[in-house]
Amino acid sequence: MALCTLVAALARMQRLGREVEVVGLSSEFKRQLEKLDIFGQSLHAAESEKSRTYQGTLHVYWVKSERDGNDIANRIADALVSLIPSSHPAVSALEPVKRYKTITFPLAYIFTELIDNALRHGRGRGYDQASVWLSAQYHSPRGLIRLAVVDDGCGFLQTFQGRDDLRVRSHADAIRAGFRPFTSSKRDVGLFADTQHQGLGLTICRDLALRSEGSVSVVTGNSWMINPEMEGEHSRAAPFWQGAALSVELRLPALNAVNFIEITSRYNPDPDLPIRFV
Amino acid sequence: MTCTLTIASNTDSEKVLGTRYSAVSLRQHVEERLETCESVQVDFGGVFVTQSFVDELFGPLILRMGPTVLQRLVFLRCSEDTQAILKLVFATRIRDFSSRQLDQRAVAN
Repeated sequence: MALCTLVAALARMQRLGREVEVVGLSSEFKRQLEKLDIFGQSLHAAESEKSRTYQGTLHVYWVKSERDGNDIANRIADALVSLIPSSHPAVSALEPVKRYKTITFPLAYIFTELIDNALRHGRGRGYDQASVWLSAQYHSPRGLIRLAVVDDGCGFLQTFQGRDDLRVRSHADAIRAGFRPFTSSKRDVGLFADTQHQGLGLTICRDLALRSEGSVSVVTGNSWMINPEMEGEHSRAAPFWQGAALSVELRLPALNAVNFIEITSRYNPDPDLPIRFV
Repeated sequence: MTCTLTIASNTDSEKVLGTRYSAVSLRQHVEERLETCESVQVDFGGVFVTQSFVDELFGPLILRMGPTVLQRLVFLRCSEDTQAILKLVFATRIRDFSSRQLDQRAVAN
Protein backbone atom coordinates (compact mmCIF):
# COMPACT_ATOMS: atom_id res chain seq x y z
CA MET A 1 0.00 0.00 0.00
CA ALA A 2 2.87 2.37 0.84
CA LEU A 3 4.42 2.07 -2.61
CA CYS A 4 1.06 2.53 -4.33
CA THR A 5 0.30 5.55 -2.16
CA LEU A 6 3.70 6.98 -3.02
CA VAL A 7 2.94 6.63 -6.73
CA ALA A 8 -0.44 8.32 -6.25
CA ALA A 9 1.21 11.16 -4.31
CA LEU A 10 3.89 11.58 -7.00
CA ALA A 11 1.23 11.66 -9.69
CA ARG A 12 -0.67 14.32 -7.77
CA MET A 13 2.45 16.47 -7.53
CA GLN A 14 3.10 15.94 -11.23
CA ARG A 15 -0.43 17.14 -12.00
CA LEU A 16 0.41 20.30 -10.05
CA GLY A 17 3.48 20.83 -12.26
CA ARG A 18 6.06 20.03 -9.57
CA GLU A 19 9.48 18.52 -10.20
CA VAL A 20 10.00 15.51 -7.96
CA GLU A 21 13.20 13.79 -6.95
CA VAL A 22 12.94 10.39 -5.29
CA VAL A 23 16.02 8.70 -3.93
CA GLY A 24 16.63 5.34 -2.28
CA LEU A 25 14.43 3.28 -4.57
CA SER A 26 14.86 -0.38 -5.32
CA SER A 27 15.76 -1.07 -8.94
CA GLU A 28 12.43 -2.91 -9.35
CA PHE A 29 10.40 0.04 -8.11
CA LYS A 30 12.45 2.53 -10.14
CA ARG A 31 11.82 0.44 -13.26
CA GLN A 32 8.07 0.36 -12.53
CA LEU A 33 7.94 4.13 -12.00
CA GLU A 34 9.75 4.76 -15.27
CA LYS A 35 7.34 2.42 -17.06
CA LEU A 36 4.46 4.67 -15.99
CA ASP A 37 5.06 7.22 -18.71
CA ILE A 38 2.87 9.86 -17.10
CA PHE A 39 5.80 11.26 -15.18
CA GLY A 40 7.89 12.29 -18.19
CA GLN A 41 10.71 14.63 -17.24
CA SER A 42 9.18 15.71 -13.95
CA LEU A 43 10.35 12.68 -11.97
CA HIS A 44 13.96 11.96 -11.16
CA ALA A 45 14.32 8.57 -9.50
CA ALA A 46 17.52 7.15 -8.09
CA GLU A 47 18.26 3.66 -6.80
CA SER A 48 20.11 3.00 -3.60
CA GLU A 49 22.53 0.24 -2.71
CA LYS A 50 20.50 -0.62 0.38
CA SER A 51 17.29 -1.21 -1.57
CA ARG A 52 18.84 -3.63 -4.02
CA THR A 53 18.13 -6.47 -1.60
CA TYR A 54 14.36 -6.06 -2.08
CA GLN A 55 12.96 -9.53 -2.72
CA GLY A 56 9.43 -8.96 -3.99
CA THR A 57 8.25 -8.63 -7.57
CA LEU A 58 6.13 -5.59 -8.24
CA HIS A 59 3.58 -4.45 -10.75
CA VAL A 60 2.10 -0.95 -10.79
CA TYR A 61 -0.81 0.18 -12.98
CA TRP A 62 -2.79 3.35 -13.49
CA VAL A 63 -6.52 2.93 -14.11
CA LYS A 64 -7.62 5.84 -16.22
CA SER A 65 -11.27 5.00 -16.75
CA GLU A 66 -13.98 2.47 -15.96
CA ARG A 67 -13.54 1.09 -19.47
CA ASP A 68 -10.00 -0.09 -18.57
CA GLY A 69 -10.75 -1.51 -15.14
CA ASN A 70 -11.76 -5.05 -16.01
CA ASP A 71 -8.92 -5.54 -18.46
CA ILE A 72 -6.29 -4.27 -16.02
CA ALA A 73 -7.64 -6.46 -13.22
CA ASN A 74 -7.33 -9.53 -15.44
CA ARG A 75 -3.86 -8.58 -16.68
CA ILE A 76 -2.48 -7.92 -13.21
CA ALA A 77 -3.93 -11.17 -11.84
CA ASP A 78 -2.42 -13.12 -14.75
CA ALA A 79 0.91 -11.36 -14.29
CA LEU A 80 1.01 -12.20 -10.60
CA VAL A 81 0.13 -15.85 -11.11
CA SER A 82 2.80 -16.18 -13.81
CA LEU A 83 5.37 -15.34 -11.13
CA ILE A 84 4.43 -18.38 -9.04
CA PRO A 85 6.78 -21.21 -9.96
CA SER A 86 4.90 -24.29 -11.13
CA SER A 87 6.98 -26.24 -8.61
CA HIS A 88 5.49 -24.27 -5.70
CA PRO A 89 3.79 -26.78 -3.36
CA ALA A 90 0.57 -24.75 -3.42
CA VAL A 91 0.14 -25.04 -7.18
CA SER A 92 2.26 -27.96 -8.39
CA ALA A 93 -0.58 -30.49 -8.10
CA LEU A 94 -3.19 -28.22 -9.70
CA GLU A 95 -4.48 -28.64 -13.24
CA PRO A 96 -4.41 -25.31 -15.17
CA VAL A 97 -8.19 -24.90 -14.88
CA LYS A 98 -8.16 -25.56 -11.14
CA ARG A 99 -5.18 -23.23 -10.77
CA TYR A 100 -7.09 -20.47 -12.54
CA LYS A 101 -10.18 -21.05 -10.39
CA THR A 102 -8.39 -21.12 -7.05
CA ILE A 103 -5.72 -18.47 -7.55
CA THR A 104 -6.23 -16.20 -10.59
CA PHE A 105 -9.99 -15.83 -10.15
CA PRO A 106 -9.88 -14.61 -6.50
CA LEU A 107 -7.12 -12.13 -7.35
CA ALA A 108 -9.01 -10.73 -10.35
CA TYR A 109 -12.19 -10.77 -8.23
CA ILE A 110 -10.60 -8.58 -5.57
CA PHE A 111 -9.01 -6.23 -8.10
CA THR A 112 -12.22 -5.66 -10.05
CA GLU A 113 -14.15 -4.96 -6.85
CA LEU A 114 -11.53 -2.54 -5.52
CA ILE A 115 -11.23 -0.76 -8.87
CA ASP A 116 -15.00 -0.42 -9.11
CA ASN A 117 -15.09 0.90 -5.59
CA ALA A 118 -12.38 3.48 -6.25
CA LEU A 119 -13.82 4.67 -9.57
CA ARG A 120 -17.49 4.69 -8.64
CA HIS A 121 -17.26 5.99 -5.08
CA GLY A 122 -13.99 7.93 -5.17
CA ARG A 123 -14.94 10.06 -8.13
CA GLY A 124 -17.76 12.54 -7.79
CA ARG A 125 -18.46 15.05 -5.05
CA GLY A 126 -15.92 17.40 -6.67
CA TYR A 127 -13.27 14.73 -7.28
CA ASP A 128 -14.05 13.80 -10.87
CA GLN A 129 -10.36 13.92 -11.82
CA ALA A 130 -9.28 11.52 -9.09
CA SER A 131 -6.81 8.91 -10.25
CA VAL A 132 -6.73 5.24 -9.29
CA TRP A 133 -3.51 3.27 -8.86
CA LEU A 134 -2.92 -0.43 -8.40
CA SER A 135 0.09 -2.31 -7.22
CA ALA A 136 0.65 -6.00 -6.75
CA GLN A 137 3.57 -7.82 -5.20
CA TYR A 138 4.48 -11.47 -4.92
CA HIS A 139 6.92 -12.57 -2.25
CA SER A 140 8.06 -15.98 -3.31
CA PRO A 141 9.53 -17.51 -0.15
CA ARG A 142 6.38 -16.98 1.91
CA GLY A 143 3.85 -17.34 -0.89
CA LEU A 144 2.59 -13.90 0.10
CA ILE A 145 0.54 -11.86 -2.36
CA ARG A 146 -0.05 -8.17 -1.68
CA LEU A 147 -2.53 -6.09 -3.64
CA ALA A 148 -3.21 -2.39 -3.19
CA VAL A 149 -5.61 0.05 -4.78
CA VAL A 150 -5.19 3.73 -3.97
CA ASP A 151 -7.21 6.72 -5.13
CA ASP A 152 -7.10 10.42 -4.40
CA GLY A 153 -10.85 10.86 -4.58
CA CYS A 154 -13.43 11.87 -2.01
CA GLY A 155 -12.69 9.12 0.53
CA PHE A 156 -15.03 6.91 2.56
CA LEU A 157 -16.44 9.64 4.80
CA GLN A 158 -17.73 11.87 2.03
CA THR A 159 -19.04 8.81 0.21
CA PHE A 160 -21.46 8.16 3.06
CA GLN A 161 -22.56 11.75 3.49
CA GLY A 162 -26.30 11.93 3.14
CA ARG A 163 -26.85 8.50 4.69
CA ASP A 164 -28.11 9.75 8.06
CA ASP A 165 -29.36 6.27 8.93
CA LEU A 166 -25.78 4.95 9.11
CA ARG A 167 -24.62 7.50 11.71
CA VAL A 168 -21.21 7.88 10.09
CA ARG A 169 -19.41 10.69 11.90
CA SER A 170 -15.73 9.86 11.50
CA HIS A 171 -13.38 8.31 8.97
CA ALA A 172 -13.23 5.16 11.13
CA ASP A 173 -17.06 4.94 11.18
CA ALA A 174 -17.05 5.29 7.40
CA ILE A 175 -14.55 2.45 6.92
CA ARG A 176 -16.66 0.15 9.10
CA ALA A 177 -19.80 1.09 7.16
CA GLY A 178 -18.04 0.30 3.89
CA PHE A 179 -17.26 -3.24 5.01
CA ARG A 180 -20.65 -3.94 6.62
CA PRO A 181 -22.72 -6.24 4.39
CA PHE A 182 -25.54 -4.59 2.44
CA THR A 183 -24.29 -1.09 3.24
CA SER A 184 -23.45 1.16 0.29
CA SER A 185 -23.75 4.83 -0.44
CA LYS A 186 -25.32 3.82 -3.76
CA ARG A 187 -27.63 1.19 -2.37
CA ASP A 188 -30.81 3.25 -2.23
CA VAL A 189 -30.35 5.96 -4.80
CA GLY A 190 -33.68 5.50 -6.55
CA LEU A 191 -36.17 2.92 -7.64
CA PHE A 192 -35.33 2.88 -11.33
CA ALA A 193 -31.71 3.99 -11.32
CA ASP A 194 -29.39 1.41 -12.82
CA THR A 195 -26.44 1.98 -10.56
CA GLN A 196 -27.51 0.58 -7.23
CA HIS A 197 -24.79 -1.29 -5.46
CA GLN A 198 -25.49 -4.18 -3.12
CA GLY A 199 -22.92 -3.23 -0.51
CA LEU A 200 -21.21 -6.61 -0.67
CA GLY A 201 -18.08 -5.98 -2.76
CA LEU A 202 -15.71 -4.98 0.02
CA THR A 203 -17.29 -7.48 2.41
CA ILE A 204 -16.56 -10.42 0.12
CA CYS A 205 -13.02 -9.17 -0.61
CA ARG A 206 -12.32 -9.00 3.12
CA ASP A 207 -13.71 -12.50 3.65
CA LEU A 208 -11.57 -13.88 0.81
CA ALA A 209 -8.47 -12.31 2.37
CA LEU A 210 -9.17 -13.52 5.89
CA ARG A 211 -9.94 -17.07 4.77
CA SER A 212 -6.60 -17.15 2.96
CA GLU A 213 -4.92 -16.25 6.28
CA GLY A 214 -4.38 -12.72 5.04
CA SER A 215 -5.77 -9.34 5.98
CA VAL A 216 -7.30 -6.10 4.71
CA SER A 217 -5.98 -2.64 5.57
CA VAL A 218 -7.65 0.68 4.80
CA VAL A 219 -6.40 4.25 5.09
CA THR A 220 -8.77 7.13 4.49
CA GLY A 221 -8.81 10.61 5.99
CA ASN A 222 -7.00 10.35 9.31
CA SER A 223 -7.88 6.72 10.02
CA TRP A 224 -6.04 3.47 9.40
CA MET A 225 -7.91 0.23 10.05
CA ILE A 226 -7.03 -3.44 9.71
CA ASN A 227 -9.75 -6.06 9.18
CA PRO A 228 -12.76 -3.74 9.63
CA GLU A 229 -15.88 -5.14 11.28
CA MET A 230 -14.13 -8.38 12.22
CA GLU A 231 -13.08 -9.76 15.60
CA GLY A 232 -9.43 -8.78 15.05
CA GLU A 233 -10.23 -5.23 13.97
CA HIS A 234 -7.44 -2.80 14.77
CA SER A 235 -7.42 0.92 14.15
CA ARG A 236 -5.14 3.86 14.73
CA ALA A 237 -4.67 7.45 13.62
CA ALA A 238 -2.85 7.94 10.32
CA PRO A 239 -1.32 10.87 8.47
CA PHE A 240 -4.18 12.43 6.50
CA TRP A 241 -4.84 10.91 3.08
CA GLN A 242 -7.42 12.54 0.82
CA GLY A 243 -8.99 9.53 -0.84
CA ALA A 244 -8.86 5.87 0.02
CA ALA A 245 -6.04 3.35 0.11
CA LEU A 246 -6.88 -0.34 0.45
CA SER A 247 -4.46 -3.18 0.69
CA VAL A 248 -5.22 -6.89 0.70
CA GLU A 249 -2.81 -9.65 1.70
CA LEU A 250 -3.38 -13.25 0.72
CA ARG A 251 -1.33 -16.33 1.48
CA LEU A 252 -0.90 -18.79 -1.29
CA PRO A 253 -1.23 -22.13 0.48
CA ALA A 254 -4.43 -21.05 2.25
CA LEU A 255 -5.89 -19.38 -0.84
CA ASN A 256 -6.19 -22.82 -2.44
CA ALA A 257 -8.53 -23.94 0.31
CA VAL A 258 -10.88 -20.96 0.25
CA ASN A 259 -14.48 -22.06 -0.24
CA PHE A 260 -16.00 -19.32 -2.35
CA ILE A 261 -19.48 -20.84 -2.22
CA GLU A 262 -19.43 -20.79 1.57
CA ILE A 263 -18.45 -17.09 1.55
CA THR A 264 -21.25 -15.99 -0.79
CA SER A 265 -23.85 -18.28 0.84
CA ARG A 266 -23.38 -16.52 4.19
CA TYR A 267 -25.04 -13.41 2.80
CA ASN A 268 -27.79 -15.12 0.79
CA PRO A 269 -31.19 -14.33 2.37
CA ASP A 270 -32.97 -17.12 0.45
CA PRO A 271 -30.65 -19.99 -0.54
CA ASP A 272 -33.61 -22.10 -1.74
CA LEU A 273 -34.80 -19.57 -4.32
CA PRO A 274 -35.63 -21.60 -7.45
CA ILE A 275 -33.36 -20.65 -10.35
CA ARG A 276 -33.21 -22.62 -13.60
CA PHE A 277 -29.67 -23.91 -14.18
CA VAL A 278 -29.05 -26.18 -17.16
CA MET B 1 -39.47 -18.49 -28.71
CA THR B 2 -36.26 -18.98 -26.76
CA CYS B 3 -33.22 -16.72 -27.33
CA THR B 4 -29.69 -17.29 -26.14
CA LEU B 5 -27.05 -14.82 -24.99
CA THR B 6 -23.52 -16.15 -24.73
CA ILE B 7 -21.59 -14.00 -22.30
CA ALA B 8 -18.13 -15.02 -23.51
CA SER B 9 -18.80 -14.12 -27.15
CA ASN B 10 -20.02 -10.65 -26.18
CA THR B 11 -16.93 -9.69 -24.24
CA ASP B 12 -13.20 -9.30 -24.91
CA SER B 13 -10.89 -12.17 -24.15
CA GLU B 14 -11.03 -11.47 -20.42
CA LYS B 15 -11.93 -14.53 -18.39
CA VAL B 16 -13.00 -12.75 -15.21
CA LEU B 17 -15.89 -10.34 -15.67
CA GLY B 18 -15.93 -8.26 -12.54
CA THR B 19 -16.56 -4.57 -13.01
CA ARG B 20 -20.04 -3.12 -13.27
CA TYR B 21 -19.00 -1.27 -16.40
CA SER B 22 -18.36 -4.56 -18.22
CA ALA B 23 -21.94 -5.70 -17.49
CA VAL B 24 -23.84 -2.68 -18.75
CA SER B 25 -23.83 -3.46 -22.48
CA LEU B 26 -24.62 -7.11 -21.77
CA ARG B 27 -27.67 -6.07 -19.75
CA GLN B 28 -28.89 -4.17 -22.78
CA HIS B 29 -28.60 -7.42 -24.79
CA VAL B 30 -30.62 -9.30 -22.15
CA GLU B 31 -33.28 -6.57 -22.15
CA GLU B 32 -33.54 -6.63 -25.96
CA ARG B 33 -34.03 -10.40 -25.92
CA LEU B 34 -36.62 -10.19 -23.15
CA GLU B 35 -38.63 -7.79 -25.31
CA THR B 36 -38.88 -10.23 -28.19
CA CYS B 37 -38.44 -13.70 -26.70
CA GLU B 38 -40.53 -15.68 -24.28
CA SER B 39 -37.50 -17.01 -22.52
CA VAL B 40 -33.80 -16.10 -22.56
CA GLN B 41 -30.96 -18.53 -22.02
CA VAL B 42 -27.83 -16.89 -20.64
CA ASP B 43 -24.69 -18.94 -21.24
CA PHE B 44 -21.90 -18.41 -18.69
CA GLY B 45 -19.55 -20.99 -20.22
CA GLY B 46 -15.87 -20.04 -20.19
CA VAL B 47 -16.13 -17.03 -17.89
CA PHE B 48 -15.78 -16.29 -14.19
CA VAL B 49 -18.00 -13.58 -12.73
CA THR B 50 -18.20 -11.45 -9.60
CA GLN B 51 -21.18 -10.43 -7.52
CA SER B 52 -20.92 -6.83 -8.77
CA PHE B 53 -20.90 -7.91 -12.42
CA VAL B 54 -23.93 -10.17 -11.93
CA ASP B 55 -25.74 -7.49 -9.94
CA GLU B 56 -25.20 -4.90 -12.67
CA LEU B 57 -26.32 -7.46 -15.27
CA PHE B 58 -29.55 -8.63 -13.60
CA GLY B 59 -30.17 -6.43 -10.52
CA PRO B 60 -31.94 -3.58 -12.34
CA LEU B 61 -34.16 -6.11 -14.18
CA ILE B 62 -35.33 -7.59 -10.89
CA LEU B 63 -35.90 -4.15 -9.38
CA ARG B 64 -37.98 -3.07 -12.41
CA MET B 65 -39.81 -6.28 -13.30
CA GLY B 66 -39.90 -8.14 -10.01
CA PRO B 67 -39.22 -11.84 -9.38
CA THR B 68 -41.37 -12.95 -12.33
CA VAL B 69 -38.49 -12.15 -14.69
CA LEU B 70 -36.67 -15.14 -13.21
CA GLN B 71 -39.28 -17.46 -14.76
CA ARG B 72 -38.12 -16.26 -18.18
CA LEU B 73 -34.41 -16.72 -17.58
CA VAL B 74 -32.43 -19.96 -17.89
CA PHE B 75 -28.72 -20.17 -17.04
CA LEU B 76 -26.42 -22.43 -19.01
CA ARG B 77 -22.96 -23.80 -18.22
CA CYS B 78 -22.58 -22.09 -14.84
CA SER B 79 -19.79 -23.25 -12.55
CA GLU B 80 -20.68 -23.87 -8.91
CA ASP B 81 -19.15 -20.50 -8.00
CA THR B 82 -21.22 -18.72 -10.65
CA GLN B 83 -24.36 -20.48 -9.45
CA ALA B 84 -23.67 -19.34 -5.88
CA ILE B 85 -23.19 -15.73 -7.05
CA LEU B 86 -26.37 -15.78 -9.15
CA LYS B 87 -28.33 -17.18 -6.19
CA LEU B 88 -26.95 -14.48 -3.89
CA VAL B 89 -27.71 -11.61 -6.26
CA PHE B 90 -31.22 -12.80 -7.16
CA ALA B 91 -32.24 -13.54 -3.57
CA THR B 92 -30.96 -10.16 -2.43
CA ARG B 93 -32.58 -8.17 -5.21
CA ILE B 94 -35.92 -9.97 -4.82
CA ARG B 95 -35.79 -9.07 -1.14
CA ASP B 96 -35.09 -5.44 -2.13
CA PHE B 97 -37.98 -5.49 -4.61
CA SER B 98 -40.37 -6.86 -1.98
CA SER B 99 -39.35 -4.32 0.65
CA ARG B 100 -39.82 -1.49 -1.85
CA GLN B 101 -43.27 -2.78 -2.71
CA LEU B 102 -44.13 -2.71 0.99
CA ASP B 103 -42.72 0.83 1.32
CA GLN B 104 -44.77 2.04 -1.64
CA ARG B 105 -47.94 0.50 -0.21
CA ALA B 106 -47.25 2.14 3.15
CA VAL B 107 -46.82 5.52 1.45
CA ALA B 108 -50.01 5.00 -0.60
CA ASN B 109 -51.99 4.17 2.54
